[in-house]
Amino acid sequence: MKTEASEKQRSFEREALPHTDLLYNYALRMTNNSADADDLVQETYLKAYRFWDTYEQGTNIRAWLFRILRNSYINCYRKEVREPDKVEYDDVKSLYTTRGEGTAGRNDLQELMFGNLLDDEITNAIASLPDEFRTVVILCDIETLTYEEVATFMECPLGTVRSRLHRGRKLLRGRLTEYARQRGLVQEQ
Amino acid sequence: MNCREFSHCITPAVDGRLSAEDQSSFQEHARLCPPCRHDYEEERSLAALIRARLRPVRVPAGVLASILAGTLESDALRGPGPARGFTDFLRRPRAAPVLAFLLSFAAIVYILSRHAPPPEGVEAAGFVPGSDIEHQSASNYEAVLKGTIVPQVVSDRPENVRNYFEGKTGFPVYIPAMKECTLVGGIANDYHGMRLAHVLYKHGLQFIYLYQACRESVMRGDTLHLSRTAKNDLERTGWHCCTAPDGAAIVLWVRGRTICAAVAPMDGAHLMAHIAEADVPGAW
Repeated sequence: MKTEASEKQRSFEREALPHTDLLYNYALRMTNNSADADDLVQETYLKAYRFWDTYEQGTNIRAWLFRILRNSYINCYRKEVREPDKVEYDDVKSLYTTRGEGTAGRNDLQELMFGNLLDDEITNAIASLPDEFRTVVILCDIETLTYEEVATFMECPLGTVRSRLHRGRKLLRGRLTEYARQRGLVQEQ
Repeated sequence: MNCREFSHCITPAVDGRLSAEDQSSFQEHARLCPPCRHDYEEERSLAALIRARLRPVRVPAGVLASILAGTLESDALRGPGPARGFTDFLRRPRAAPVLAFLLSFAAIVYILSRHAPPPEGVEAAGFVPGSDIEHQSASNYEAVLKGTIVPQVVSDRPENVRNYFEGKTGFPVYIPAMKECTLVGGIANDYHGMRLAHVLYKHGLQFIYLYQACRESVMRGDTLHLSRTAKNDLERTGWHCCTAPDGAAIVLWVRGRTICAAVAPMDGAHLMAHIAEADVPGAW
């Protein structure tokens, strides 16, 4: 009995624990609060340990852990539930309307402007993204996972990952431009 | 590639995911179409900004510690854990030493975070005046598992713990470089005027505890004493081996002016072999 318990502990430590950083970063960016991220990751691992015998050895452990965390997040932390494909089109549209005015010179200026933004502003902009877009941006751009892995995590097609990432980045850019305007880092058009 | 197709390719292009063929028609379109080029550059600079500014962080040690403690709790409550075969134990690969270190550190941080570290805490941890060193070390070992004996220094380098004990005990404290141990912690305290050293090794999921005192004083039986059997064994062979009530092995030996007692959840012969291997001049 003891040996079994200890074997379980060992395999859990060997397979599940190396991924705490991955889950922690995701939790941190989703909750935007380190105490919540702490709780969320702990809760995830304790659940994972409790259900360790249901984990199928050799399958994607990161995806398994991610889904446990994501379920906990949705149940406890997510304040609003929004349909990912029905949101914030206005944001995207307003960005598209400015399309075509650009020149390379203007892009350099934009990079300078974003360079002056604070890390907190960038963090808040990410936190303001709708859930599914935020998830993909965090996993791809902060955690640098591949599209394939994100698709496995989210159980969606590769094309969905790509389009959510594209739109997520666009929305993010819109938010950051707003911050920059408020701070006077960019002239009103 | 037209503008619509180009727009679908922006994200994979930013992430370096276009095939060589798509890449060249993508570049060609970008060269000819400034608005599309602008869109691409916007997304590229945004992705670069996030990557540069929001770097992934490490999970806090406290979180790891709580996970470890939470998972250990359900199992460890049943006892100090199984003794593993020595050969098995020697064969164990030194896999993921960084993780091992992190986990061990987390475990000790966890203990530290639960218990403030006053040295008097040790005295409260089941010291029975006049009892022999075997029983003392067994009850101290229990206190270690419960987290009542809390190291004041924890390091992955024995010399740091050695420095901590410098001038604190009046007898040399031995901090052997124990094989397969990832962390070592120490605390010195005073028990009825007797100086004591407690050294704690993190070995896998378990602890090896080393209790040390002044040999002369123990032989005299001032405060701590030795059982007759232990005394005989030590005089005859230099070693004495017995078992704690919870099944952990206790090994006693003498080194110079110091008497040492090691306690660990493995069988006596294995613990002895473990110590013998580490307890050689030059290993420290």
